[in-house]
Formats: sequence, structure tokens, C-alpha cells
Amino acid sequence: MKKLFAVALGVLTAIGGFVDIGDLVTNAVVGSRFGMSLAWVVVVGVVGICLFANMSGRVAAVSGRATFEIIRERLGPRAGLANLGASFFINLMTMAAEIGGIALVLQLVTGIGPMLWMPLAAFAVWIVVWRAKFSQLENAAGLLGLSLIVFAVAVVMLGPDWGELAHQAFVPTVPASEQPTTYWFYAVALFGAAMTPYEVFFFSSGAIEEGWTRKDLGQERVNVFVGFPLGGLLSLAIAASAAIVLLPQAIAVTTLSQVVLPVVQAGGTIAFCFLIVGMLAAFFGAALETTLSSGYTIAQYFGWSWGKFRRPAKAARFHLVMIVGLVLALAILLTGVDPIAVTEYSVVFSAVALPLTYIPILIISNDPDYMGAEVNGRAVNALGLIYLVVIVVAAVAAIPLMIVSGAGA
Amino acid sequence: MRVQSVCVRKMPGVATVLAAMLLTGCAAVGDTLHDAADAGVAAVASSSLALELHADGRALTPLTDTVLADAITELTDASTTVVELTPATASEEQQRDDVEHALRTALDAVTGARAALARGGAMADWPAELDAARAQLEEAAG
Amino acid sequence: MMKSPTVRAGRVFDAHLHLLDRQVLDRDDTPITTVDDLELSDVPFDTDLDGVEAPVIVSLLSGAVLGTRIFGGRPPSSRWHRIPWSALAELGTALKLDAAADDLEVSWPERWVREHIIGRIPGGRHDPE
Repeated sequence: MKKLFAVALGVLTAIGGFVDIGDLVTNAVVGSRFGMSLAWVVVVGVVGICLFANMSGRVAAVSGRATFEIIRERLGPRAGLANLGASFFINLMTMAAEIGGIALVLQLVTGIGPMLWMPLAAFAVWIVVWRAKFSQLENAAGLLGLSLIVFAVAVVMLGPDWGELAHQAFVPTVPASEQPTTYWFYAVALFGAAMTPYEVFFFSSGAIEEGWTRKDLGQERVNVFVGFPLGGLLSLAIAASAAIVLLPQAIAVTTLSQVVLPVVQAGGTIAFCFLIVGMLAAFFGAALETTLSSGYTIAQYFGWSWGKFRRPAKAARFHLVMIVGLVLALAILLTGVDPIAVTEYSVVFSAVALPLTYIPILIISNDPDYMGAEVNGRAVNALGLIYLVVIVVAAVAAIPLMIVSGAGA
Repeated sequence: MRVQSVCVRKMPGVATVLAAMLLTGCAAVGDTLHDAADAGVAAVASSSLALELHADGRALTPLTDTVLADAITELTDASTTVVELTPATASEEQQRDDVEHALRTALDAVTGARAALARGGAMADWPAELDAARAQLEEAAG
Repeated sequence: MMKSPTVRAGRVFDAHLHLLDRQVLDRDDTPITTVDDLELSDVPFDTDLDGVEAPVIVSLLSGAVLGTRIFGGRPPSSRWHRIPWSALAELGTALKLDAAADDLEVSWPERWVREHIIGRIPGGRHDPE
């Protein structure tokens, strides 16, 4: 019984923790402009993140070493440093996006801000990182994030033409009002939103935080292979809600307030309350994860003591990095830049940086030195190589597509 | 000597890339007007939808107010973009003026609606004003 | 070249593969640093090497040597942060030392940040609740 509860908790937190502001905004934008014709990208992205997260979790559980330690050791300090620089920069952008997202949600509730809420949000993130236990923060954010299921409920309540939605999804076409380059730009953005690099650092470091060993690999597989696809379904629900309500009215999503409207139309104030709780939990959870990732990556590269399981005094430089990171993210936001714009750029740059994290993980999960007998099987490697091609293509195409399509304008 | 000739050979390549970037970055005046009008339509439509939901009792006032505030920002940004354009032909200039006028009408309508919302009074004619502004934008977009 | 009598039989390691960029842990498995470079004992310069002992590893290095390893150059030996080779207890995917982190000279940045920054913020010295 206890085992069942633990499994359920793992899956539920995986679902609730899947969506962050990048997923929410990108899916809503795509739904409002392209309908369901980019749904296939979500599927590709979900399979990719399952593959990726499973490999990195396995590496951490079996070898007892976290991602960036191994990246430096296998790739050398120079390549490792380049990797670290790029990863830290993109992580910082994502941190700013998530904290900005928290402020935007608070604006929706109070009508005040959002600049006023940003310092408060950043401070709240820091306090939780400083004091709360790792498993507590994961579980709380994950379970409350399940509230986002209200998107799926809203889609059903809106009584859409399922045939039409299915047709858009299975026979993807570029709508007349959009350019093909914009379509492919958003395909890359959606892919980057689903396969966020910070997820890997967080997942593998989290495995060590929670003391996973070979015995926990079964649980880890269930979390990933059940939880993440269900989270992907949530992403599709977000896109569908925008496709049903906003697309017919030519409302191309550019703000968080627009994303909320379909749910409010479907279920009124009660649905709105669930949505607020869900968004706050999802963005706060993601803000925690990206903050911790910034600490993990730097501390692991330099070999410093790290981890939430240690008291801050025992992982001093780790905590210092996170404080600096939060201050920098807050500084970015206080320049007045639109958090939604930061979000959209962060997902595209995530797609660009994806090979930097993916290739080392693929190499290391095949290394018998670290993995012993648990190296990748042939099927995993075959799929891994296919995704390697997809990831490199997306990474190379991202910036040109961004320039040509005017960042999706 | 060898280093110099390599540098000279590289320059045209860089210049071509830059030119390509500039060309694709500088959209035609017509495209920019179209995008600005589309942005205006989206802003007005969001405002109309939010007000409708508010009247139905589904949307709370802070949410509705935020939607309208965001719409005002969008319309203002679109207006700025349009005003900064330099039309090449007379017809482009006419189109630019039409779009600018339509955006201004829309901005007035949304601002008025937001003020009425803040007063807590009846929304009166504002929803109709918003619909008219939207129609005007759609026509100006062509 | 004759083998020196002080060389004992044992496992053979590749210094680059198995030592450089590896995590160094203290006796409680607390991470200390990554091995940024190695200090080898001196070999006489510009003379015949007959009968001279092969260089041995004197210490693991950390700190500024990382910058010079990536970009080139060499900081003066007085500025090297050393972990004496004799402190090494185990050599696996990570290097485990026979000492406690705080006893080592090389952990001074961590201790400095602890004393001056983290320790001063309320709650810094407590376990997470």
C-alpha cells in the first residue's frame, strides 16, 4: 500500500511538474494561431524528454555522479566550460521567465503589478530554496500543479468539434494567415519548450538528492513514462483551449491574460481559481528547479559541495551561486522587459542549447566505467541516435528561423 | 601576406549574410501594417471577450482589467510601429493613415471601457464601440 | 631504462583519464573540488636520465590552474592549491581522500564563503526543515 502511494506520488508530481511557463505560453500561442496543427511536435518532444530524462536519471542512480561532474570529466574542462556558460545563461533566462510568470499571475488576481510582485516572487523562491527540504518542495509544487488539469476540463466543457480538432492535429497544414517559416519556427520553439535542458540537470541532481540507487530505477521509469506523457496531454489541452476559443476570434496570444480566457469562458470563477493555483504552483516549481539547476551546474563543474540535503553552511558556494542567480534574474525583469517575451526567447535558445546537454548524456549512458552493466540497450541507443539527429537539426535551424520569421511576428 | 588575403576574401561573405539578414528583417511596409492591424484586432477581440465574460459574471474584475490594460499596451505599441513607418507610395501612405486611425479609435474604445470598468458602472455603449473599432481595423488591414 | 626499486607492482592508471577532472571527495563523501591539474616531481633538465627515478605525482591541484589549463600559461608554484597525494585513500570514478574537508588548505574558499556570507544569513547553519 505504501509502495503504491509512493508510486502514485511520483507520477502525480511528474504530471504536475511537467508544465512550466514556456510550455504554457508556447502551447497557447501555437493553439491560437495554428490550431492543433503543431500537436505532433508536442508528441515528438514528450518522447524525447522521456528518453532524455530516463537516461540522465539512470546515469545518476547507477553511477552516483551528477550530470555536470560527468560532462567535465568526459568532455574536458574547455568544452565543459563552454557548455557551462551556455547552460547557465539559458537557465538564467528561464529563471527570469518563471519568476516573471509568478508576477503575471499575481497581477491577474489583484490587478496590480507585475513589477511590484517580482521582488516578492524572487524572495519567495529564495526562501524556499534556502529552508525547505527537497522532497517537500517537489511534492508540493507537483501536486498543486495538477490543478492545471482544469485546462483539460475546460476543453471538454467547451464542447468543441472534436472532428475538426482531430483533423487539424492529424493532417497538419499551415493556416492561410501564417507563413511556413513561422510554422517551423514555432515547431522548434515548442520542441525547446518540451525538452527543456534544465530538466536534465535537475532530474539527475535530484536523483542524488533523494539518494536513488539501482533499486529506484523502476520507480523512476514509471514516473517518467507515465507522468511525462500525461503532462504532454496537458500541453495539448492548453493548445486546444486556445484553438477552440481564441483562434476563431483572431486573438493571437501575446499575454498571459489571454491564455486564461478560454478556461474562464468554460468554467467561470471556479475554474479561474483552479487555474490560478495551478499556474502559481507550476511557475513557482519551475522557478525552484531552474534556481537549483543554476547552483547544480556551477557547483558540479568546479567540484564544490552541493545539495539541498546539506545544510547551507556545508554547501556555501552552492547557495551563494543561487542567490547571485536570483539577483541577476530579478535584475533582468526589473528592466521592464516583458516576461512573455523572455519566455519566448528562452524556449528558442533552449532548443539551440539542447545538443550541449544531450550529447554528453548519450555518451555517458553508454560508458561502462560509470554505468557498469546498466549501459543503454540497443533499442534505447537506436532511438537516442534518431533523436540526436532531430535535436541537432532543431538547434541549427532555430536561429535562422528566428531571424527569417521575425521571431514569430 | 597570406593572412591579409584570407581576411579580404572573408569580407564579402560576411557582407552578404548581413545584407540577407537586413532584407529579411526589414519587412515591407504593407506587411508591417498588416501585422500591426492584426495585433490591433487581437487586442480589441480580447477586450470584447473579457468584457463579455465579465458581464456574464464569469470573469472577475481584476482579470478583466488586466486584459484591457494589456490590450492598451498592445495597441500603443502597434501605433508606435505604424507611425514610425516611411511609406514609399501614395497608396501605402493612405493605408498607413487608415491603419493608424483605426488603431487610435480602438485605443480610445479600450481606454474608455477600462475607465467604465474601474468606475464599476454600466458598460453602456463600450462593447459596441469595441466591435466597431474591430471592424475598422479589419477593413484597414485589407 | 631500469625500473627504480621504489616502483611497486599495482594497478595501472592513465593520469589524464582517471585523475584529471575527477571529483575529489573527503572521508565523509563531501565534495571538495575537481582535480584541475597535477603536480609532478621534478626531473633534472638537460642531463642524461640514466638511473634517475621516473617523476611521481606529488599533489593534486585546484584553483587558478584551471584557467591556465584551459587558456595556457602557468601560475607561480606558490599560488597552487595543493592536495598532497598521500591524502588519497580510494581511486574510483571519484577520488576519495582520507581527510576531512575543513582540514585541507584547498577548501579555504568554501570556508571563507561560509564564514562571511552564508553563515551570516539566518538559518544558514541549520539543516533544512
